[in-house]
Formats: sequence, C-alpha cells, structure tokens
Amino acid sequence: MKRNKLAAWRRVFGLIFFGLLLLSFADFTGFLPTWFIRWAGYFQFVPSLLKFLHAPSLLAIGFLLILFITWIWGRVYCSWICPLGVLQDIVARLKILKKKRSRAYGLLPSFKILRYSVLILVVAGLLSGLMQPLMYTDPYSLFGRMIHQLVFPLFLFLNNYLSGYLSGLEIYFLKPFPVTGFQPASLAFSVTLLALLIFLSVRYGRIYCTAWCPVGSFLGFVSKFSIYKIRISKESCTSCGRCAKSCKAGCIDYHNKEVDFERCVGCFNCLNSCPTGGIHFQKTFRTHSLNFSPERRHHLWLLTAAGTGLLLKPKVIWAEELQKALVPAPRLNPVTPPGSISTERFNDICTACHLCISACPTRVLSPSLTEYGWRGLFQPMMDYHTSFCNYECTRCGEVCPTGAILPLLPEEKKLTQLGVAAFQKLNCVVYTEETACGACSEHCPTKAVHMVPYKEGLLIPKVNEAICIGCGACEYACPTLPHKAIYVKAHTIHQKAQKPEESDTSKEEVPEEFPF
Amino acid sequence: MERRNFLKNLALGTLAGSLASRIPGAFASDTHASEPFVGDADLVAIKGGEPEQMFDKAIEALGGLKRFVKKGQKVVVKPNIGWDVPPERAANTHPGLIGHIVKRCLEAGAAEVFVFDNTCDNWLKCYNTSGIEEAVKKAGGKIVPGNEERLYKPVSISGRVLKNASVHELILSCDVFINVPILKHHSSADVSIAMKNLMGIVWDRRWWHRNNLHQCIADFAGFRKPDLNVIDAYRVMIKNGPRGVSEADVKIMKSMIVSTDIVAADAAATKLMGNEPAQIGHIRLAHEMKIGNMDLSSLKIQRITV
Repeated sequence: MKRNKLAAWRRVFGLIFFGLLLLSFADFTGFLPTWFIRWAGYFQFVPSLLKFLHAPSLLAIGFLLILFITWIWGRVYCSWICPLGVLQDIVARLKILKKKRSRAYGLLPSFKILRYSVLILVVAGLLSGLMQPLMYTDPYSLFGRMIHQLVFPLFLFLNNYLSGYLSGLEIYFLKPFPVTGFQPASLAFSVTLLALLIFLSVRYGRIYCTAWCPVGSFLGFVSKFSIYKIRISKESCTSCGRCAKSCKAGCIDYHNKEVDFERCVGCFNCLNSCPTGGIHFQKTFRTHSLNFSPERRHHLWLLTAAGTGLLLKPKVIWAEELQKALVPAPRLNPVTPPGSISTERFNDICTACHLCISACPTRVLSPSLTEYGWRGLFQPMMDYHTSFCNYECTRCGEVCPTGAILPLLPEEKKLTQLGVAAFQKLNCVVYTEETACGACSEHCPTKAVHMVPYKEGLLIPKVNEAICIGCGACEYACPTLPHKAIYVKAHTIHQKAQKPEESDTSKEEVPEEFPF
Repeated sequence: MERRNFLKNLALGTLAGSLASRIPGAFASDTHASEPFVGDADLVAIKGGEPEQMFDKAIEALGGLKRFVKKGQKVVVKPNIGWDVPPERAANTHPGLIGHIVKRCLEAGAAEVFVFDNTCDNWLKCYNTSGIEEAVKKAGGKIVPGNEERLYKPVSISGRVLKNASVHELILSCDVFINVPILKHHSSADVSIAMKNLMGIVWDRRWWHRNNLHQCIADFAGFRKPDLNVIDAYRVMIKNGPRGVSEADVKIMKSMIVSTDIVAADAAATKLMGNEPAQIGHIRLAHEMKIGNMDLSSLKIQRITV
C-alpha cells in the first residue's frame, strides 16, 4: 500500500512554524531582525485577527488565509501551524514520556458544551473589550509566554554563564546580556500550564485543542463545511480500531465508522494506520453532494459578515472615546509602550504573548502583575526601575503581532509622550545633601530634564514637560534610595511631545591660540 | 605603583636623551610649533589637524608611544562610549582616534589592546552607533563588554569619601592604561573629561552620585592613574551634555590635549571650553589632594598647531 505523505509534510511544516516562533520568542540578543519576527507570526490566528481588527492592512490577513485553508482541508492549522499544537506533539513523542502512556489514544468525549462555552466566553469578552478569556486560552499567547518565561532565560543564563567563564580566560567572544524583566507569577503560570499540557498530551492526546482551545473550536466549526474531510470507507473497514488508537484528537469512532471532523486536528496519522486502506482524506462534495446546499452557503456568508461586523464595532466605539481625550487617572497607571496609544486600548488588544518583552533590547518591558488591575495580568509595562526606553528604538511596535503596540517611525516615536517626568525635590540629592548631581538630566535624550541654578555653585533638575517623552531614563538613572526623586507619571492616553530645539549643524571654531 | 613610576621615569630619561636630537628636525618639516621644542613636556596641546594626525604628533612630542607601550604588554584603551548617538554628536570619543590608538599600540608591540566602557545607554547600541566597535575591530583590538557586574572586582580606595569601588578586571590586570575621553559639558560634573571618564571603569556609579559626586571623582582619580590621557577635543559638546540633543550642541575645535598628568590634562581642556579649572569641583579637589597639578603656569606645555 502506498504510504500517504501528508503526516510527514505535517511534521515538516509544524517544525518550521514551531522553530520560527521558538527563535522569535527565545532570542535574547536582539539579533533577529523585526521582519523575521513579524513573518514568523504572520499565520498565527488570534494575533492576526486582532491586528486586522485594530490595524487593518495586508500585513494582517494571515487569519483570512487560515480560514480559507480550513474551509478546504479542515483545521490543519492545529497540527501544521499552531506552535502550542506542535509543542504537544513533540512532548507526546518524547521517549521518556511515551513510556508513561499506559494506553493508546482512543475515542474521547466530544466536550461540545465545554468547548463552545469557552469560545462564546472569548468572543463575548472580545466584544465587550475584556481580553482575559482570550489571554489565557489563545494557544499562540500561551506558547509565547511559556517560551519567554522558560526557554528565553535558559538560553540567557547559559550564554551568560559561558560568557562569564570565557571572560575569566580573557576571551570576550560571547556577549553577556542583562538578566531582568522576569515576573515570578507569570513564570509560575507558564510552568503550571506546561506541566498540565505535558500530562494531558501524553495521557490523552490533543485534548486541550479539542475540548478547550477557542481557536480550535472556531476552526473546528468552520471545518464542518470544509471540502476535504477524513472519511472511513464502510466497505473496507474491518473495525479493527487502529485508526482510533493513532488519533491524537480522539475523534474517530470506529465502531460506527464515523469521524467527528470538527475535532480532527489534521495530523493525518490515521491515514497510514489502516491495514485495509479504508480511511481517506477526500473531497466530500462529490461523494456526499446531498450535503451541499447553496441556500445554506448563502446564510453562512451572511452570518460570517455579520460576525465580522460585530467584531469591528468595538473599534469604532474606542475611536470616539479617544477623541474625547478624557483622562481618568484616579490611581497611578503603569506606563504603556510607545505605539500602544492608550492604556485602555492596550489592555483591550494585548494578549500578553510576551513577544515584545523578548524583543526589547533594553529589557524595559516587563510583565505586569496587578499594575493594570487584574484585567491586564501579565500584559507588559515599562519598568523604569529596571531599565529605560532607548530613544531611537521602535522594536516593540515592529514585532507586536496583535496591533496592541502599533509600529512607529523613529521620528514619531521620539515625539510620543508616554507620560511626563515629575520631579520630587524633597528626595533629590542636590536638596538633601547639597552636593552636585544631575544623573537624570545626563540621561535625558531631549533635555526636558535640565539643570537650573540652585544654591551657591549648585544646579538642580527642572522638567520641561512639553518636550518630555516619558522614556524613563531620568527615573532609571536617579540614584536616590529608597524612592526616586524623579519618576514618569504615565499618560492614560499618549500625547504628542514638542520637538526639542534641534539643528543639524555644528559650528567650526578652532581656537586661534590656546587659552593657557 | 612606585616601581612603575620609577621605571617609567627611567625609560623617559633614556628615551628623551636618545630622541631629543632627532625629533625637532622631524617636526620642523610639517608643523609650526608655537614654542621651541622642549622634549620633556608635561602636557602637549595640539590643534588644527585631524584626530589621528594630531595624536601622532602629540605622542611624538612626548617621546613616542614606545615610551608608554612596551613589547608584549597588555593595553587598555578607555574611550567614552556612554551614549547611543553617532560620532557627529560628540557624546562619544572619536571612533577614528580610538581605532588609530589601538593600531599604534599594536605597532609599538602591545600583545593585546582591549577597549570597553560601562555605558549609560544600552551597551550594544552604544558600541555600534558610536562607530567605536567597528574601528577597534578593524584596527586589530578587542572590544570587550563593560555591562556585567561580574566583570568588576572590588578594590579599596584611599579617598576622602570613596573607600570602596568595583573596578573592571582589565584595568586591574593591564600593564598600560590609556584614557581617551572626549571633552564635553556635563549636567552633573560641570565638565566630563579625563577624570570623569574613569566613571566608566567602575560599577556602582549611583553611590557616587549620592555621596558628593565631585569628591568621589577626585578620590578615584588617585586609584589607578592612567599612564596616558588623550583628550579628544576635535568635536566638543559645549551644552546639553553629556548626551546632547542635536549637532547644534557641538563646536568643532579640532584640538587635543595629551598628558600623563590627569589633573593637568583636565585643567587645560577645561580652559579650552572657556571655564576655569578651579571652578570645577573635582579638578580643584584632585589638585588639593595632589593627584595632579591644575596650575598650568607651573607646567611645561608643548603647544603645536598643525
């Protein structure tokens, strides 16, 4: 019997997508160009969908291609593209864990109610601007967070250990990178999730994907109408059950010779498991033409269009709110990254995948805990006690796959005011010690923080808010303890700063005579 | 330290003797020394040329680089690479000058030449944007990280305020330490020149800022005096220092100060910027502590115009 090559191709594709994203999330060197990272995540369903909704462009139609593919072949996304799916497949193949599996896979309950409840919750959350359900179920974001929290530091520590060892021998080939920006709670979340996934995938197969994952459920729904489907031929099937044992999704009912294609993750392992060649991946319109109804197709399109319209609605509401420019800041907000436009918008779109945190070269982006309130748990924020935002850098917006952080040109970024520096004189060294300091002003890229005469021979910092962009350099540099004498008061809606006085010419003035 | 100085003086004496007859002739051809050549200058001030050219002439006037760098020695060249800005902004030492010094040290027989700084902006960006990483690699030197605490070893300092510091291991292990700051305005220390540049070889600078910055700078200047201070005053940031905002902050002065006396070098450079050395806290304190001499009138100064 000719072996079907689909399962082999699935492995190739799966490993490519998995590898690309693994690299993107684990690159602690900032070596990967942002176009690479952008394309690595192009086909990821949730980020692409969010980006399309919030910043529509041709660069954000990956999810439409996925829908199209799903319409033709079913939810192959889950085994060919989804990094969390591939991760589960890899884990289940590991020899050490394989031994622990007491039995082969088999038919699983369909968990229809659970699966659709999660999906409905996620969609309802999206419509009402609540990201929470999506943030903790979207496979891409879960994967990203896991890699950032587990693999990224592993590589980083390994690199720094080696680099430290080599520098002892005066070999400075490996560069050390700062170890900052980790968040214990986010780490704990990822460790727990990974353990759970390992257990589930080894024991039951892809039960996360078929019983819980909202992307899987949605694509599964679409795959009900797909052109190609897995079918068991009633004539050749001997009900030996081998296909069911090979099915990670647990969706083959060999007694009744039926496949619940809605749950099929497109791994195609079953095709080569059948001794009689009785299981096929075939066009369904020809063999089951009765199922096709033009009328139903028309209704489906209407439904899809209406759904898309609904999803687009919140964006319009948000735009109106922004124009009112109301700044409700009853409490201290965390500073959001440049390109996120407003705290609310950011909270509404970010899935906390941690890609920007991995990509940030200064490590100023850190996962939050309760700074945004529980609603924004693990969403990144600017941590000015760890580092500060590089004046020229626009990397976070370039890599953000959801559009939560929009890409900015360097010229725009340099005028984007995330907040303004607030000087607390009572903490300042110049005031308390009456000795010179101006670390804040030293680091300020626009000289919004400048020094003005204070007492005899002393200068003291002063802030020109109009040209401050809230990069946090002053706050980071301020040496006072335990509290800083200067900090960035976050804007809940980013403002436009004025340009600092600039000109591109230097005067040439070689001294006639030396003044000594 | 004393033996080093003794050896240095010994070498200086012999070299000065052997070179004194040769150098003036060499100079007459292409420079217009504004004063007769003396050969044992405490400080060389030079202007009007390109940084590389001015360095060669100034070093020649001090007796040649071989006076400072011997065969097989380990050299550290310490520029200012503090900021993620291009060379035109004059926040970092001229990259061409650094590359050139590295090259000259290797020619003089140095076994290895290391270059690093504990930067303020992200170090990889600073090394790259300043052009210094590329220049050092091209010249055959080694550009080394300065951003990791483990690279710094604790030492005790016999200062008035500063008693401890963590210093980059290469500074502690090198034979020759060449300090190559850029002259610029500074919001905390008034000016940033040779003494201030040494803040880039220590780890916890915040402590200095909290505990009388000027005194700490002066205290540390006596710990490991550079064997040579080369002050890049080709482009000089006259305001908005030390990072600067635009090229309008920069005056092209095409000058350089070279001296073994870090205080004298800072004093001369301060005057070049139009300030009085005695008005600058750390210079005045270092002079008082006899780390060096800021009284330029008592020094032998070689002035060269290219």
